[in-house]
Amino acid sequence: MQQAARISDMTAFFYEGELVEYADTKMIFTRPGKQRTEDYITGRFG
Amino acid sequence: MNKIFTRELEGLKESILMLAAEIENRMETVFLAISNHENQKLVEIMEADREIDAREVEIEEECLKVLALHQPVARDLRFVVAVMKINNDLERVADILVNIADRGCRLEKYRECDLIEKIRAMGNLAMEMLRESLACLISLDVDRAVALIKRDDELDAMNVDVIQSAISRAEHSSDEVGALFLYHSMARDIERIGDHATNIAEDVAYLADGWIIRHGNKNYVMGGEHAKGANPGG
Repeated sequence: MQQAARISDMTAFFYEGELVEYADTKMIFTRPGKQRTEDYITGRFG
Repeated sequence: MNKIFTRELEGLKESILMLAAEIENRMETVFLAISNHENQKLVEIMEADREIDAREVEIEEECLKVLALHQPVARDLRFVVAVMKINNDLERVADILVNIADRGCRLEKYRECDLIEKIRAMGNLAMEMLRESLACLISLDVDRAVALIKRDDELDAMNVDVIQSAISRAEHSSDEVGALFLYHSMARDIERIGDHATNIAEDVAYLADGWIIRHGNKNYVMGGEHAKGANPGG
C-alpha cells in the first residue's frame, strides 16, 4: 500500500471484486471519500 | 489494526486533552487573580510555565514517534498532524498568559484606571472561545468549529475599542500613560488567545473532514464548493 502511495498519481481501491473508490492518490491517502476505503487504509479491516 | 498504534493514538488524545484542561485552568486563574489583585497567584503562573513547555515537547516527540514508526494515513494522519498543531497553539496560549500575568502584576500601581472592565470582558470572551475550541476538539463538531471561527471578529472589535480608548485617554491624561500602555498590551495578548482558539477550531475541521479552511481557503465559512460533504474523492 505504501508503494502505491509513493509511485502512483491515481489510486483505485477494490474490495472483493467491487470498485469502492477511484481518486487522486493524495486524496485517497489523506481524506478518502468512502468509509470503507478509510477503514481499509488505516488498517481497521483487511 | 495494530494494538500498539491504537494505544499510542489514545495516549496522544489523552495528553492533548490534559494539556488543554491545564491551560484552561490557568487562564481562569490569571483573569481571576488580576480582578482580585492576587499578585502571588500571577507570579506562580509565570513560574509554572516551564511545566507547560516540557509537556509540549513530550507531546511533540510522541507525535513524531507515531509518524516515524506507524506512518499513519487518512484520519489517523490528520489526527497526529492536528495534535501537533493544537499542541503548539496551547503552548503559545500559555506563553501569552505569562505576559498577561506579568502585566497584571505591574498594573497594581495604576488601580485608578478603569479600562479593566473592557479587558475583563475581552478575557471572558477569549476564555469562552478557548473552552469552545476544546469542546469542538472533543466532539469533532465542524459546524461548532465554524461558528467559533466567526466569533473571532467580535474579539478583534473589542481589541480595537480598547486601543482607541487607550489612545484617546492618553491624549488627555499623561498620568495614566503607564497603565494605558499595559492595558493596550493586555488587549493585544487577549486578542491573540482568540486567534489561537480559532486555529484550534480550524484544526478540528481539518481533523474531522480533511479540509484546510485557513486563510483564503475558508470555503466552509463562506459556504463554497468545499463545503461539508463535497469531497470529490467520494
